[in-house]
Amino acid sequence: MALKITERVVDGVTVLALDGRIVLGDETNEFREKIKALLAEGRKKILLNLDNVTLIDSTGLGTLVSAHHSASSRGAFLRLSNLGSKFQEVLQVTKLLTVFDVSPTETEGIKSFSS
Amino acid sequence: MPEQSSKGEVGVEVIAPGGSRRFVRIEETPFLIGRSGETAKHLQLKDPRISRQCAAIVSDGEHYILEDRGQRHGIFVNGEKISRRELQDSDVISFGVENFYELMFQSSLHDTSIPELLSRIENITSSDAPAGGLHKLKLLLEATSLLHSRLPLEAVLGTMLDHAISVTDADRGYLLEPLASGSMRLRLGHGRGGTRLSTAEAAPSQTALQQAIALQESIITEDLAQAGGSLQAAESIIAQRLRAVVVIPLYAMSRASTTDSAIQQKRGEFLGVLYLDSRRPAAFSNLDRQILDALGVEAASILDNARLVERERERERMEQQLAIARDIQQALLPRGLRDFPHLGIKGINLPCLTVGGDYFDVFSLGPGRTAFIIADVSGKGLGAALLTTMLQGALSGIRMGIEPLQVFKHINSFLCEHEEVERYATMFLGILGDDGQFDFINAGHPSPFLLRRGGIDEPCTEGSFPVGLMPDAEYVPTQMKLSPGDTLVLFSDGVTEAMDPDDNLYGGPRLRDALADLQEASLDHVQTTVLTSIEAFTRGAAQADDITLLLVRYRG
Repeated sequence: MALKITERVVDGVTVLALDGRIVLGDETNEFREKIKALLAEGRKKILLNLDNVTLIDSTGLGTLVSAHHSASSRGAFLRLSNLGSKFQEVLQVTKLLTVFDVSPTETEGIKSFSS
Repeated sequence: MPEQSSKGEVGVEVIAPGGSRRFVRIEETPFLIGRSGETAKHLQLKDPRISRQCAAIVSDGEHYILEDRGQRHGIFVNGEKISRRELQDSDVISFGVENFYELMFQSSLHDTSIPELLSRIENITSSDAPAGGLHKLKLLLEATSLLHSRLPLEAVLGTMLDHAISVTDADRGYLLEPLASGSMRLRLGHGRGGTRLSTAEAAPSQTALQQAIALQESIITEDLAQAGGSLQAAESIIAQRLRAVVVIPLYAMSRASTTDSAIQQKRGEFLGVLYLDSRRPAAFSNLDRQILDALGVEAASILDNARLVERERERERMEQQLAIARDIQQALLPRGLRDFPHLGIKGINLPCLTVGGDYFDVFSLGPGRTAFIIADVSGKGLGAALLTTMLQGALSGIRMGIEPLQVFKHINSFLCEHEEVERYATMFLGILGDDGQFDFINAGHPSPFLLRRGGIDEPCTEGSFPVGLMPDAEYVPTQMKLSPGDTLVLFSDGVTEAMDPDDNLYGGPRLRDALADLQEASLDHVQTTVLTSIEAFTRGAAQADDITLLLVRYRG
C-alpha cells in the first residue's frame, strides 16, 4: 500500500496532501525524496495535509522530524494540518507536537505562513 | 551421521581469493594448516595475516574434526566462529580475514553416492535421448533441492561435465560462469575419466567464447584452417594447439514458456558456458547440433538449479548469522529476573523479526534502589537491534554511577550527531527506592500504566523528546510516590500498535481494559492476561512490531 502524494501550490504555499501510510519502507523513502526535491527547488513554505494518513509508524515519525530539520536548516518552513486523532496522540506521547506548527485545517495552515 | 571411514578421497578444496581452486587430499591426520614450515606441513597459505600455526584437521577414525590452533583472527566454519567442530561435506572453512583463501571440506562420500543414486534413478526412468543421463541428474538435483539436503554442488556439476565430455568425446570440459564485471570465471574443469583439472592453468579460447556468447548459440570450430577469419587469428588457440572447440552458452529457461519455439524466442538469463575441447583435429565433426542443443538445455537447467541451491545456502548462512544475533540479544537481557527485596519484576521481549529494536533492563543501584529501563528503537530488525545494543552499553553508565540525565543527554547528542543512522529511540527510565520514592525520566515513551487500588492511571506522561531527534532536547527527572501494592506496567508501542487483520490498532484503551481488576493478581498472571488479550485481538495477523512488556510491583 503506497503513499500517495498530491502536490498543489496555493498562495505561494506548497501543499502536499498525503494519502495512505507513512511507514518504514518505500513510503517513507518516497516522502523523503519528495521533500528533498522541493527544498532543492528552493520552496520555502511547505504544508503537509495529513487528513488521509491512515497510519504512521515510528520510522514515519522520524522521517517527518528529519524533513522538518532539513527545512529549517534551509530557511524553509514545514507545517502540518488536519492531524487525525491517532497522529495527534503519537505527537503528544513523543512531545513532538511542540516541534511542529499544526493547524486544524488546510486553509488555516496556508494562512499561517503569511502571518 | 555419515561415516567417512570409507576408502575414498577426503580433502579440502582450496579456493583462492581470485576464485581459482585446487584440491588437497588429506592423507594423514592431524592435517596441519598455517603460514609456513613444520607447523603447517600439509597446507601452507602464504600470507602474513595467517598465523604460522593456524588450524588442524584431526580424525577420530570416523569423523574429521577442525581445531583452531591459534589463528589470530579466528577459525570459522560456514561463517560461524569455532574452536573445534566436526566437519561435514561442503563445509566452508574461513580464517576471519577478508579477501582470503577459503577451504571447502570434501569427503568422498557424495562423490561415490552420486553415481549410485543416478543408477537408481536409471532404474526408475528410462530415456534414449542423448542427454538422458543429464536429464536424470537434473531430476536428482531437483529432488535434492526440494529435500533441502546438503547437496554436493561441485560433484553434481562435475558429473555434468563428465557426461558432456563423454557425449562429445572431448579431452577436456570446463564450466564458466559470468561475473558481475562481464568477464567469465572458470568454475570447474574436468578431463577424461572424471579427473579434476586445475582451473588456474586452463586458457579457454576467449575468441570462441565471445563468438558463442554474441551469437547466443553453440559453436563448433573443427579445423582451424576451416574456421572463420576471426578464429584463425586467435592466439590462445594456436598457443595451446587446440584443434577443436565446442562452446555451448547456457541460458536459464523462461519458466513460463514450455514449447520449443517459445524457448527460442524468450531466452532467460545468461548462466554460463560449457566449454569442451580436443586435440584431435576433427573430434567434433560428427557432432549433431541437436545433441549440442539438448546438452545445452539440460546443462543450463542443472546450472540454474545449482544456483538456486547456492542462493538457498547463502540464505541459510544469513539465517545462521541472524540466529547468532538473536541469541546474543536475548542473552543481553537481564538474567533470571530475580525479585528485589522491595519489588517484584517480570519482563518479556518478543521481537517481530528474529532480532528487534526493543530492549529492557533492570539493575540495582546500591542498597534499596533499583533502576529499570524500557527502550524502543525506531524501525525493527537487525538495524534497530544494533542500536539497542549501543543503548544498553550507554545506559550501563548509570550502573557505574553516572547521572542518568547525563546519560540521556549523551545518547541524544550521540544519535543526533550520527543522524545518517536515521534512527531514534523512545526510552523510559525509572528508579524505585525501598521507601516508595519513584523518579523517572521519559524520553518520548508512552507512560506506563499504574495499577493501584481504586483504578488505573497513566502517571508518567511528563517528559521530553525521544533521544536522537532534537539536538537541544532537555531531559528532566520527575518524582512521585508509589504505595505498597502498586504495579507499573511498562510497554513498547508494539503492544498498543498491535494490528488485527483489518489494520485496526490494539490501542491504549484496550490495554487498560485488559489490566482492569488485575491489581491483586500475580505478575505472571498480569503478563499472560495482556499477551492473551493482544493475541485474541490480532486474530493471527502477523506481528508488525516488537512487543515488550515489563511489570514492576512495589512491595513496600
